[in-house]
Amino acid sequence: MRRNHVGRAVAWCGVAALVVALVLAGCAGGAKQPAPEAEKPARDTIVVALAREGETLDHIRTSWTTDAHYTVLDRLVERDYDLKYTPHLAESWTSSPDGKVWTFKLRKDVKFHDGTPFNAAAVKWFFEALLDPKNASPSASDYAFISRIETPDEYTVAFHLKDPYPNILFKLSTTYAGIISPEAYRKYGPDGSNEYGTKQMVGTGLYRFVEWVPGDHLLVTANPDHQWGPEFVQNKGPAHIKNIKYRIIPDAATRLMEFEAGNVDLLLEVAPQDVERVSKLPNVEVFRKPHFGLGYLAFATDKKPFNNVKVRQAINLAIDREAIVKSVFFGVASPAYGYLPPLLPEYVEDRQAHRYDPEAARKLLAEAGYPNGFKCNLATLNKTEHVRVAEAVQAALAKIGIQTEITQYDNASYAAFLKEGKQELFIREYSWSSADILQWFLYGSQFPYPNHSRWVDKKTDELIDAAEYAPSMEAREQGYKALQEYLISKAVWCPIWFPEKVQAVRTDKVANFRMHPLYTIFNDVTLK
Amino acid sequence: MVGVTLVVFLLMHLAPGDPALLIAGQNAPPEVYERIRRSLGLDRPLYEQYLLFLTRVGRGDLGRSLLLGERVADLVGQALAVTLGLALAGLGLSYLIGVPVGIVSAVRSNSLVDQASMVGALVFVSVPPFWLGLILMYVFGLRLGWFPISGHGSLAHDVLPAVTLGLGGAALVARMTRSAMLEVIRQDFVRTARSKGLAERVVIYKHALRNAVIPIISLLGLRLGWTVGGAVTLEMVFSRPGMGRLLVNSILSRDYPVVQGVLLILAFSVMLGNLFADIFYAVADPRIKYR
Repeated sequence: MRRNHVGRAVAWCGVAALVVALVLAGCAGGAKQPAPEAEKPARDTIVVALAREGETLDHIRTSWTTDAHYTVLDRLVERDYDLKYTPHLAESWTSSPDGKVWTFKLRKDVKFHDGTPFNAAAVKWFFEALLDPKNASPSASDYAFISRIETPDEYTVAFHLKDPYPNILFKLSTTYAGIISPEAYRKYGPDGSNEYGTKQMVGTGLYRFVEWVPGDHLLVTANPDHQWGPEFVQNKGPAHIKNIKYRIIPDAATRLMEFEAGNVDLLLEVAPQDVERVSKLPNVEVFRKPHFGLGYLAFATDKKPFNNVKVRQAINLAIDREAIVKSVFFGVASPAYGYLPPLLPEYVEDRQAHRYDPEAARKLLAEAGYPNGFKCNLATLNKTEHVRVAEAVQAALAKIGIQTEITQYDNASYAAFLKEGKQELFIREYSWSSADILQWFLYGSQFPYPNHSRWVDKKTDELIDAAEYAPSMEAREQGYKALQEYLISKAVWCPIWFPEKVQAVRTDKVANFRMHPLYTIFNDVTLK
Repeated sequence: MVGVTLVVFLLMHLAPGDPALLIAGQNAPPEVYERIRRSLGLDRPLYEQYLLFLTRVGRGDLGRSLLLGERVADLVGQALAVTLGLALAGLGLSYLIGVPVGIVSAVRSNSLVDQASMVGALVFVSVPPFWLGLILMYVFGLRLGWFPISGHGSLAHDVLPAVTLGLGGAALVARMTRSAMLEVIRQDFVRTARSKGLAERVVIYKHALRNAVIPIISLLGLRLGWTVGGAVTLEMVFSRPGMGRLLVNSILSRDYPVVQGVLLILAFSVMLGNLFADIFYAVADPRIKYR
């Protein structure tokens, strides 16, 4: 009995030791085995990790789009690697002398994945569907500048505009302008079987939709008929890679492990804190580009004390942008000194108004009547980086006497909170590649939401109107520059950081990948 | 169950944020937002929405997802299969590991084996499952490459999440088994059995265990609900399209019918777990009978 006892104890200790040894061996980076067969993607499939998925792929009915919208659908106009507008489904375009009629000549060799011919009627149908109040499209207001669409012949579309609007090229190049097959939408859309966006998605793109298993993956396969690649890619024909599998992996740590193990070939987003680690992995190339976006601290400008320009200016001077970029973003971002992303031609920066000068900030605050500061709420989305920025802002403001209490919200409750107008100070980040974002957020008629800065100002509206409906791109650029100078003088926002877009690719599996500032372009990409 | 539906319904509708705003996007003009609200039926009074929901549930209709337009029953059904498989595997593992460890610890109480396994149990009870999941993923998925890191589809994909779930459960089961066994082993009938000269194996498994099994089974009822809950949190880490993903996504997008459907099913599974436990009582102990 006693011997048996001892024997079992020894056996148990052995098992425990084995487990500990295995764990230690693993942690110490023991010899890495190849991934199991089931997990290995076939050679004809590139695996891309997506952090999240939209609720539907029908972009007429949602404002959420995924990377797959870019590969399955084509647009009339594209933007090349340098962001210049280039022809795609439209071969060429002209605008009338008064800038109110834009005529697009379409390609004649294009057809949708379901065989429906691509023509002027399809384009007209699509944009009318976006504008149709019955569809309640969230993008409708984006295209409200269109008054009517005419089709003089089968391959010509004329957009008649309410006012001159040179920014139409931008609007026709976004993912929201991807043209859907009218036939497919009739059959599978809300008036048909209501499967469009979940079980069906039909465009003219480089890839055809195969299936979407919510929570798991989205699969698309190369369109063999595709011969209409845009000018800026070398391969105008069908894609070299047969399938793209978008795997939905919400957890960042899991995503990174899958990439490191070689089960994911392309990471579309690498978080700032992971960039250094990913850069050190073997067989991995990391791409970094400035992103079209801005992170900023906003004020409820109609509430005391934020209705005082001196208070807003003081807060602008209290924030050490360089320090935040270093500590929160590990240098994977840049300090923001303006309201628009630097890549835009309309960009204006003012380093003087956005310098770090707590002494001057305290003085301004005293001049505004708050020598001892004040207390207020600081709201933020519960996204890690935003919370860290909020903490940095809290510490910075405390130095000039402003005591803040941080409140965190999830996406839905943050939107409701801002809509109800309960905010005082709040952290925001936008991603948008056109200057009209300032119109969205600061135009008077957008109050109270999305104008959550609650900035209703006649001069601002005038400057926006002048810029947005300027007759030419040059005039528009000048108009938006004037607007920004005015906004900065009023310290309407406190810009903090310009985010960076970071992607990583497995070079042992993928070749010829080139990072595009806005989209993922698969035309030239090959598998090794 | 009605209480559960009411709590779930009120919690969701009183939380700030609404699905129409998320669908419309922040740039949409107010009239579009209002139209979407109307089309989703969110403009009706709350009690009306609740009564409508109750009558539908009564008819076995969980409604349709506000965002996907699909039947909630279908969405929940697909997700439930994934989650239930994982939960049952986890539960099975926790008993497969926990009961033998508990018995050995009790029989050899205060020995090295007992102490080692109880320390192990303490560790696994205390470690949050998502963290344990990440560690197992790193060691056995990434470093050793024995199992797929995440995803769903083959048996191999189920190993790491099931073990993660099983280890936490096993720790609890082992502790429960040990204390129940210790209580029984000291009783007179066990001594009698031994004195009759029965083999130790028979004494332990036939006489002692049979009498210690009631608390272990009642734990099963409680664990079923807990394990489904644990599976739900692990699904986010292991990227599995189960109830957890469905629940989290639907909460974030305020897709009320889906949230209600998922929670109803989860509540139902806890009730079912308790029912099974009660039935097992009767099987294990003929003295317990329902009149």
